[in-house]
Amino acid sequence: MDAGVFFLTIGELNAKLKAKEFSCVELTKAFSDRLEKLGPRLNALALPLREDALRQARKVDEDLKRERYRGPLQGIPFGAKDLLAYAGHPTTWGAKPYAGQVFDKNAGVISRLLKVGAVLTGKLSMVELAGGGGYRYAAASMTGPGLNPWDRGCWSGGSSSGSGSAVAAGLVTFALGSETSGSIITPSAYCGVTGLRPTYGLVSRAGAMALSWTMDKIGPMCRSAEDCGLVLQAISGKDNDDPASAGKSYYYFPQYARKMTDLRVGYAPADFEHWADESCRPALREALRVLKEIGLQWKEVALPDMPYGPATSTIISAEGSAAFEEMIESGKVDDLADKKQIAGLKAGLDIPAREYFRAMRVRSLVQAMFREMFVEVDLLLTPARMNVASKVNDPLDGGRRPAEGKSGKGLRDLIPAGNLAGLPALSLPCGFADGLPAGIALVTRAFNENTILAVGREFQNRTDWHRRMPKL
Amino acid sequence: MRDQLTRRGWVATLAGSATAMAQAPPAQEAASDHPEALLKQARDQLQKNFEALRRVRIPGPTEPAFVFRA
Repeated sequence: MDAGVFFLTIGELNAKLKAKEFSCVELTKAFSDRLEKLGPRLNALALPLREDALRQARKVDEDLKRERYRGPLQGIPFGAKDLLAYAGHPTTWGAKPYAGQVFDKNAGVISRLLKVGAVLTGKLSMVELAGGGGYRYAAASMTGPGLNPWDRGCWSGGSSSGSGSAVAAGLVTFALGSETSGSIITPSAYCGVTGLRPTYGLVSRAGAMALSWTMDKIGPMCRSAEDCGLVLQAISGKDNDDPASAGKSYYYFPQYARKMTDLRVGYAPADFEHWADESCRPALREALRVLKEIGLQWKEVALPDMPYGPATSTIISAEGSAAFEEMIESGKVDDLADKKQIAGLKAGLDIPAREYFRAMRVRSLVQAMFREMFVEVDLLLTPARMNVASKVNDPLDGGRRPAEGKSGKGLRDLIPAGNLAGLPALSLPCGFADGLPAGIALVTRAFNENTILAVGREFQNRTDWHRRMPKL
Repeated sequence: MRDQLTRRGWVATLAGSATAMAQAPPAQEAASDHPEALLKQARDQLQKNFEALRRVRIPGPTEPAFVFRA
């Protein structure tokens, strides 16, 4: 099978299946071979699922033979972050204390994807427990550090490390990741894939590991904005097994998107010219230039000075340590790979209720602030990360930060702020710095995914960064 | 196309993943990496976070967020 097949979008691959250029079984075998061969080299594979995948592929071929079409995801190979339950198989959450854990029911999102004929070829690696206690090294995972397909000496980002590198390396056509604060956006940016963090409550978390009940989101990591829309349509919607389910469905209708010239974009020049690492700035400037060509309306904005990071950390620590209380109290927490994470989880057990509630009251203020901001603009634009992936052995808590100076804070806290407010975000690859991908991110109001996907699609119609393939 | 990866083959693949071994964090433990020191650091960081949150003037009627999106 031609190597280009591994880097096709969902729509392109589905068209080839329908045209019978190859069968779903042939496609699944080819993707499984690649995933099992290259996945371990990137520490991206938690569990291969070849037999189950082939069973599903045979059903798809039968359906295609009878012209029973189930939508664009029919026959498409995908991977799932190993915090999503897949019945009868290990679901480790990336952590040694849960190495033998097996659930008897699929996560809601996996069931939805299987129902429309997508083919699950493997579970993908992750930072242990999605890094809820904080972690110091990329190696904070049972499968070793996530390695970046663009440079295996660098990290793939976390916590959806395997999802990012597997999509970038063409080991799956799309993957499911999760984000509590940055875990889809970061690996998407570092690996050069297109990642969507949906609005809180739009996608069911049933059967997913709980780190923070009030902040966890499941979302797609794909080759393009269009693919993200197609996957989101399949996985969104009401789920009675998730108490946080918003009960809303999502339909990807790019043809009904607002005119680009009607959209108002908020951005802060300081993000691009001061906060971003110097090496990233040429790629980010070029992305701005392309977006300006689209005809969007531009407005300079900045986040008000609020403790977004401390509020996010307090909430995640309190909820995460409560969620893992049994493991922490039993002492099994000491089997985790990262010592900082062990300490963070232990410390989180002692957060007083008043501190947690203060953080949640600040969170209300952050939400109100965004409601006001989205009267003035329709979306916000920032660099997805201010840097490219770090070296795999570098500590993650020792990053360089430029002095604040006259530039102001811009939108550089948009990851914690946007997560506090449960807002959707889209990460788009926009070039390279030092041979590693750089990205931009778009954020919009709740349940307004179609707006950022439409802008993302237009950006990708004018660029080919999302089409680049790493040499492996 | 290759045959199914056997369980033994999978274990061998994982075990042979020299990269995973080579990329582990430095074995030598600095004093600041001692569990007690790290626990103290984690608690100190939490205190710093609480202090930053206390500096926010929260209007009296502000309830904690009970809906987790704006």
